[in-house]
Amino acid sequence: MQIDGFTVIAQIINFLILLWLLKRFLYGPITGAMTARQQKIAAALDEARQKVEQAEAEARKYQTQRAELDAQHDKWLEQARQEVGTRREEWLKQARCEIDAQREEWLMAWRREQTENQHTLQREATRRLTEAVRHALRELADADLEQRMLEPLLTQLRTTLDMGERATLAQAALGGCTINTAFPLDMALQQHCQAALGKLLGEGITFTFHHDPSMACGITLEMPGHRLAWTLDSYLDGFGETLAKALNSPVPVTSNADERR
Amino acid sequence: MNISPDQIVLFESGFIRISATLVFTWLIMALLVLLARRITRRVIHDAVLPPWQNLLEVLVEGIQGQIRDVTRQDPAPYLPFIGTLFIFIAASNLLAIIPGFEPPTGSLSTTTALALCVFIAVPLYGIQRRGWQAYLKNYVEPTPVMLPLNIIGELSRTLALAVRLYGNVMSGAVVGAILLIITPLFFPVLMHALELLTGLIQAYIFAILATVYLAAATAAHEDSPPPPTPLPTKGTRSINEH
Repeated sequence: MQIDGFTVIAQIINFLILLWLLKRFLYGPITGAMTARQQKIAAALDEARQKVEQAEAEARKYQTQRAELDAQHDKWLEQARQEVGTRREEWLKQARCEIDAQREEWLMAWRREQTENQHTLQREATRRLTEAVRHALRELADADLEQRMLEPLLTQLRTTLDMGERATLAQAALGGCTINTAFPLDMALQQHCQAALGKLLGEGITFTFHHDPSMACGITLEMPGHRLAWTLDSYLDGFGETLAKALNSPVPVTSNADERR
Repeated sequence: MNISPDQIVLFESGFIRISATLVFTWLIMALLVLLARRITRRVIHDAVLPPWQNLLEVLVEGIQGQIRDVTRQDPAPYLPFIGTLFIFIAASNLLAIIPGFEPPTGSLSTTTALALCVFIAVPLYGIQRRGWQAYLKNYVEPTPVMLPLNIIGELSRTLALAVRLYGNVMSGAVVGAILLIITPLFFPVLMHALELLTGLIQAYIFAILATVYLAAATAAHEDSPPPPTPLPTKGTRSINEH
């Protein structure tokens, strides 16, 4: 075991040379690459951190916006609900009003129809009854009855007409007076009638006798603008009016609409 | 049987004496430089690395981590020195597996040269970092009476460095040679495998001790906080001087 001085010096020099060479070709490039990579990674991490912060800021912004949108949505929803409720109440009220109006209209129409039906029924009943009575009286009437009806007519004319009416009728009779009867009057009755009417209305009146089978029974005087009748038809017309008045009492109507309200 | 490659003299002229130690040293130097040059010719800065660059980065980063753990300082100034010590000694010891190769670290001259390098580097780093007065003051602390002991300590640890490495490598080679004579079949193979492990451990010990000496010289009164350690640390501070 001995130490060679030359070898020691040479090895020191060798070591220093190797140190320089490795520093140049190994440590420098490797540490440089590692530093560059670290900087690159650090830059990437920094960029990633910035992106994360940016993303978080964006997320916070979106969350805020979403919260605002949610609040706005809730507000709009509430407003819509209120509006729908208000509109619903309005529509319901309007519908109720329309229904009430329609029901009222329907009730009025129904009442009108009922009234018309009632009137129609009354008219029909009156007409049928009057027809029946008229038919019966026509079957029972004859010339004697008609002749007997002439005197009451003349009496009534004398008693009921005042002077003014009598003058008016006299004036109208100058244009001609037509006497209608259901049955033909014999000559004596015609003369009696002419005499009575002439006495009542004045002389110079032209009388024309005419018999009308459509009349039930009775006498009518027809002058220009005036007509005086004493017939069973007038009785029957009065009977019909009385019957119609009696049947024309108001019909009680029970409405369920009020109960439905 | 040669117990040291110094004894294999290839050329001699006066003071100049070219032994196998120097030749194998040059071989190792050439091999290391060529490998480093070839691998680092195209250094990739991307995340995906070529395998050899990855290996070198792992090696360099490991050395940096060890230096950082021991010195608690930025490893950049010490990396070339400590790294070259480790790589040279490790390569020398590992290549001993090749038949006919005589490891230069089996030469006391080589280990002495390396120990002298450490002996010189320690005050240089200490003075560079702390200044003349602060470094020299370290020898008279805690009292001036300790000056001779501190100087002896400096010399003895340099001697211990040299002899330890030389003794381990030389003994491994000698034991291998003796075993080759006694049991030439299987046992030498196992011993060679053991020598690989021993060689790596010796390279590690030499480099770590040099780092400890540098740390003691540069950070004896370091008040500054230690730099951050990005790499996982290993229990290297428990290694004491053998």
